[in-house]
Amino acid sequence: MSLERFNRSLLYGVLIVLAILYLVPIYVMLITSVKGLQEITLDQMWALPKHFNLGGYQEAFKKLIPNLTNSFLLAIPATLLSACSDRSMGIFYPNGSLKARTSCLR
Amino acid sequence: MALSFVVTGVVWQWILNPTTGINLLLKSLGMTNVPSWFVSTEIVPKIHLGQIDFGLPLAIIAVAIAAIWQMSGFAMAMYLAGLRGISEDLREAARVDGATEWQVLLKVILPQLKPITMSLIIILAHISLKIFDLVYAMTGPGAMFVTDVPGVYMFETTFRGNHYAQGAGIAMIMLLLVSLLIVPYLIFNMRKGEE
Repeated sequence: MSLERFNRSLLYGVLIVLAILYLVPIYVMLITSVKGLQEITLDQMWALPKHFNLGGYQEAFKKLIPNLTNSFLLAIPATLLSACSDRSMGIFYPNGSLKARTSCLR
Repeated sequence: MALSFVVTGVVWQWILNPTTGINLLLKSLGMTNVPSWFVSTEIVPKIHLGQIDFGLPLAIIAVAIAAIWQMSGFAMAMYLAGLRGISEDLREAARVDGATEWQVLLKVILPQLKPITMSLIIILAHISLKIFDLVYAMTGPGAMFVTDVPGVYMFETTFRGNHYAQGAGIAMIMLLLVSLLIVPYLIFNMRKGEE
């Protein structure tokens, strides 16, 4: 029991350390996103923000909404059309039923 | 690859900054000779062949860390999906036959993940060959061109140097390199489909 438990805790220790290492860039990104403009310097990049500031998000969303609509207008037809054309390309592949291969053409 | 490569590039540029980044932690742990990450212009082992120095530029290691961080999430998601696809019965059967956990891993699970590994290598290799935005946001060509990759070189030649023909030539060579990777994979897959 004890060896198994030791192994398991060792495994979880390694996993937690790796997870923290993986989350370091996310941490930097998050704290930078809630900082004011004068707080963003390379010297204070690890420090938590002194004044919690959501202005960056407000500004970003104001500018992003037209871009996001454009993104959707581009992404939805592109995905649907490429899925359809790829499916009809499936005719040239031997596997799969005829119905599955031609469902988008009907 | 949920994050944009540009964001990853900028964040890792901050983290691996030689004076303010992760080196602060290394210094506080007692390391005196801290690495200078993507700023270093050192190439090991420097082999002169004509005008070119062959070897591994140390600066590219920093870029590689950022690229690994970005792409390994995708690999993990693919492997997770693959692991979900392997039924518990197979593992149980191997255990009943007296296989150790290592044997179950090496002889049951890994062979089942082979197609996923293959697809991952192809996808990530062709993304890495074409990589531009991460390197450009992080270092650009770098001091002494140590982190110059085909994508960055193409951009600089075409839009900074205004040598459009030369840039198109680089792009064609990149296409050739990627197709060297993709075409054998496609042929291999088509053969398997016909069987």
